[in-house]
Amino acid sequence: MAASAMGKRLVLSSVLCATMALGTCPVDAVAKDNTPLITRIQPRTSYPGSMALQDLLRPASTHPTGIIIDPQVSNYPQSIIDRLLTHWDGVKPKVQVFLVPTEDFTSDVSEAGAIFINAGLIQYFHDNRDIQSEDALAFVLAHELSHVLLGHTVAQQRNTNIKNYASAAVKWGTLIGGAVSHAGSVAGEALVSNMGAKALADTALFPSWSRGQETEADTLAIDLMARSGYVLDEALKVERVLVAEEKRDAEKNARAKKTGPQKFQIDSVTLTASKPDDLDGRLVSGLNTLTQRHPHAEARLKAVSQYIDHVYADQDIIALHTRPMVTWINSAAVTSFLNQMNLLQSAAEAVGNNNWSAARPTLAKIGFPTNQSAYWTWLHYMVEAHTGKTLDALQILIKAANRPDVTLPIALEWGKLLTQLGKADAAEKYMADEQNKFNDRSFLPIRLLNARKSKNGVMNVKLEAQCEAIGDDGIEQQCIAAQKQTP
Amino acid sequence: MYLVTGCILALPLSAQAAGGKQITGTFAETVPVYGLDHKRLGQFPAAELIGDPIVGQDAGTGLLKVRTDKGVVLVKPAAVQTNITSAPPAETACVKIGPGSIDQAGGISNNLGSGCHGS
Repeated sequence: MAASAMGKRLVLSSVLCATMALGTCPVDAVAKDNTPLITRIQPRTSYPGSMALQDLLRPASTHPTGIIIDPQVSNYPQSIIDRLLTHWDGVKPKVQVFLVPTEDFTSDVSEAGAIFINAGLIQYFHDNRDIQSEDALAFVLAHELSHVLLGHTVAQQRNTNIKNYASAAVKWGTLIGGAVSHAGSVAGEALVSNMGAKALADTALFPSWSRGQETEADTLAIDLMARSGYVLDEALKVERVLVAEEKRDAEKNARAKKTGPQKFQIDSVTLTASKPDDLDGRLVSGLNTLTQRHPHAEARLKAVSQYIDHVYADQDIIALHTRPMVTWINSAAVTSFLNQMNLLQSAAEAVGNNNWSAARPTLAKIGFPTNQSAYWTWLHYMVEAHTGKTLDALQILIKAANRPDVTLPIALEWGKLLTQLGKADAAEKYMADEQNKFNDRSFLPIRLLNARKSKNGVMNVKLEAQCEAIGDDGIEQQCIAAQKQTP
Repeated sequence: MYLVTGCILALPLSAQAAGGKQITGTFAETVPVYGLDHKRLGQFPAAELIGDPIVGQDAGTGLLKVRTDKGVVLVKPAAVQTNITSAPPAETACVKIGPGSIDQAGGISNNLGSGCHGS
């Protein structure tokens, strides 16, 4: 425990030290010598080979939403990726586009190089005519592709570990408390609140990518677009949407600060300070102030504009690629997809509110291919399980647990069920396997319970040791709770 | 990797016209401008453009239509700073529908907004 706590202190200390020099807003990113970034980077020489779908989707499959497989919708963005890659000089990665059934205006890329486009992003393109160009979508996809080409996905697990440590620290207060006692003064507390907030925002808490990586991906995206004959300025339209979103979230945070417990929200991260006057409160306040003073989206918009202006000022004027986008976004396939996404969201809200009588008919309205997805299956399982249809629920779960795109909640539920049924060996084998495939330790508390229930002392000790060795207070607490449960 | 090398010329906030879209700054002292036929007209001094209203967008190319003292010209969007804004995306409804990962910070993973689901 002491060794792992020291390890955590070193992580945060190094993160803080690395950002100590940054006392002001990040500088605008402009190429030093006006040559494109693409001519100055060393392409990767290899990429991961073919892998199972579950490995490809990690960690997107951590969430119940999973992916939707609908080639009639994803073939068009896939063709854009293929076009962008045509002009990449190095070894070309195998990159596949997947659809995610959530409302957020976002896209992302997994450690293994799968690119995800959220339904919310497609909906935005559908609803806003001024952004309806293939060039604008090409920027979105080129940005995600750039994370792969720049090797950011390789470092993603490291980012995730830093992020987990930092967030656990804020959540449990131990690491920050340790850093403060080391600093030893009110000034030290202020330092952690302000510089710590910046360090966290810049490197750890910012979802997946550091700000530097995002800027780099924006830059290479412009280069890929240029080589592929796209209109570069359309990238600014995408950046402006992010600016609008960031501004709205900042205003929301400012309003919430006046009324409720202090919260910091950025993208999908929400941190709540338990006590406003405590260090947690100062850290959350520091994060809110920081993001108001250093809006990331505004900085990105400016950086992309400057890069295009400096490096591609002499690019010929070319026509927007509007028609293919308009054709796609108004196609029957996309229209149906978006309708089904809205129904899924309604069904999810009904399930979230335990409104099973509303959830069931909503799910019934959803057709192929969405009703074959892991998300729909999970919602269907929840409805059956909570309305007394135990055997139907069991049948759904048996099939779902071994899907190639199985999601974490389904896998956890199956592990719990096998444990409850006393299938100790099957439960342990399944959960150990899935813990490895998901690279997620959420299975540990259930595996502990399973080991205790089956009186497997050796496995119990082994799993306890795993829990302690993690050094994450959150998981340790869950493991302790599992050990106290009556098997 | 990158340093600030260019100057930014900008309109003081107080001078920005209320309501209308306009050029608020540039990244260089001169900006290339084009005619409505997309033929290059030359370089305009930034001072002549800053504060000019943006009256539309060229449908075929995405260039900004700017009304200057010399008439309407086209300008590449990345060559100028503007007060153009976009509509924000719809707000996400966060729904808790089951167990999330206890191993992911704050319930997030990989920048996918579904981090709130099940966390």
